[in-house]
Amino acid sequence: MVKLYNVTKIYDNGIRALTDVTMSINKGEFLFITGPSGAGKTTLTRLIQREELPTRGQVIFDGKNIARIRPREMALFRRRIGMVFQDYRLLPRKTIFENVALALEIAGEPWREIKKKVPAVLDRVGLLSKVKSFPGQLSGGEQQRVSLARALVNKPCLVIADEPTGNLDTENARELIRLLLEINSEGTSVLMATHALDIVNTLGKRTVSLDEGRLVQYEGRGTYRYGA
Amino acid sequence: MALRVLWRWWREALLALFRNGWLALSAIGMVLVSLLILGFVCLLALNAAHVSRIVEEGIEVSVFVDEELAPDLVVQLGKELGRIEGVTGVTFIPKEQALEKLKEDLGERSGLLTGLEDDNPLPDAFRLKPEDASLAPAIARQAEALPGVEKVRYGEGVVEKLLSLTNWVRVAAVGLVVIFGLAAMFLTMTTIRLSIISRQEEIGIMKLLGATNWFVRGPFILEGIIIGSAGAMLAAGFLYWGYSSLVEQIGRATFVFIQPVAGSEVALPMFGSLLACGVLLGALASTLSVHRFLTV
Repeated sequence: MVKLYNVTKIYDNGIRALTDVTMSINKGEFLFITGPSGAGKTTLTRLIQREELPTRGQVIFDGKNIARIRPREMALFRRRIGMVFQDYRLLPRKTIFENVALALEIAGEPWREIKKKVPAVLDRVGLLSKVKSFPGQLSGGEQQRVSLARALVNKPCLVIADEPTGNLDTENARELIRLLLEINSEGTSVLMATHALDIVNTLGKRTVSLDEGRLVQYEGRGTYRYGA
Repeated sequence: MALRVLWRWWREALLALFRNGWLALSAIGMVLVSLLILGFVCLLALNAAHVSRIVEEGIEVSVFVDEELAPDLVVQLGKELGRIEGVTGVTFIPKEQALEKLKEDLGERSGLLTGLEDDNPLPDAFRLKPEDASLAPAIARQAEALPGVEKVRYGEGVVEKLLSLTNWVRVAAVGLVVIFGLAAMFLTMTTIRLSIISRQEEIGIMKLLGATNWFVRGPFILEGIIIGSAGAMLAAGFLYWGYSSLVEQIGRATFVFIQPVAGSEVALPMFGSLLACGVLLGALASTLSVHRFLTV
C-alpha cells in the first residue's frame, strides 16, 4: 500500500534525517518502526503523511507518487490516513465530542451522521462518558484514546501512530495497543513508530529498524535489539 | 452544502469568541479604541474643512464706481462685471444704501455724518461673489481694468493669508486622518493577529486532519469580521453620543459665530464608514494571519 524508494531527507538546516531508505507497508499489516531517538522515525511518518517531501527518492501511496499530489487533492489524501501523535494534538478549546467530530466535518459528513458516528467511536475507546469534557480535563491515556478515536472515525485505510505510548503508563499503553490491534484485525493497516522495545518484542509483528537515518533491519519480527 | 458550510463558520466563529472570551473582548476593545481615535480625528478634520469653507464663502470683491459715470453706463458696468470668469453673483449697492450702512456701523457716533445726505461722498458700488475664494485676486484685477471703475477692494493681503491658512488646515486634516487611519489599521490588525497566533497549533492540526484552507480560514475570517464590526459599532455609538452633546453645548453658547457640522448630519456617514473600516480590517487581519499558518 505504501512504498518508499531510496528516500533521503535532508532538512533545510542541513540535518540529514533519512538516508536511502527503501521499504513498504502492506495492506492490512501491523508494522513497527523502531530505533533510538533521532533515528528518523518521526521523519518517516511525516513523509508518508506528506507533511514533508523527500529530498531524494519517492513515496508511493496506493500507486501514486505523493509528491505529485496537487494542493487541491491534499486534503482528500490526508483523510485516508488516521494520525495518532505522542502529544495527542487535540484542540484544547474544543470538547472531546467536537475534537472527534472535526475529522468528520473536514471530510464533509452531514451533521446527523456526525451525531451517530462520534458517540459510537468514543464508546469503542471507552470514553463515551467524557463527550462534554475538554482535553485538559482528561488524563494522558484518555487524551490519547480521544486522539485514536479521531483517527478512526473516518475509517482510514492506514493509521500512523508516532510514539503513541511515549507519554503513557504501562496500563494505558497496553489499552492503546489493544485498540490498535483490534482495528488492525478489522483490516486497517497500522504503522507504529516506537522505541518501546517491550511492546515490539511482545507482539512479534514485522519490525523495521532505523539507526541514524539508515535502515538496519527490514524483515525481522520483534526480538530485535538495537545499539547492542 | 453552501448553507451547511456557512452555518459551520458561524457556529465555529461564535464558539471560538465565546470560549476565548477575554481575548475576544480585549480585541474588540482595541478596535474600539483605535476607531474611536480615528473617528475623533475625522470629525475634527470635517469641522476644520467646514469652518474653512464658511470663512471662504464670506470673501467678496467690492467694486467702487466712478462718480462721473452716467446711470445707464453703471447698469452696463454691472452686466460686464457679471461676465467676468468666476463671478457667481453681482449685487449693486447704491451710495445711499452705503451711507445708511455706514451710519448703522457707527452707531452712537453717526452724528458725524449728519448733513452728508445731500452731498454723499460715498460712491456707488458692486459686490461680486467669487465662485471660489482663491479667484478673488484675479477677479479684482479684471474688474479694475474695466472703464468706469474707480477702485477695487477684496481685503488684499488678508485674503491671501486667510486662504493659505485654510489650505494648511485642510492639508493638516487630511494628513492627520491618514496617520491615525494607518495607526488604527496597525493596531487592529496586530490585535487580531495575536489572537490567531495564539491558536496557530489548532490550524496545523486541522490541516493535518485533511482540512482544506477554506475550512480553516472561514471561521477565522468571520471571527475577525465580528470583532471588527463590534468594535466599530461601539466606537460609532460613543462618538455620536459625544459629538452630539458637544454640538448641543456649542449651539447654546452665544459667542460662537460658526456652528459645527450637525450631529445628525455626520451620524450615518460616520456609522457607515467606521463599520466598513471595522469589517474590512477584521477580515483582512484574519486572512493575512491565518495565511501564514496554512502551509502545513
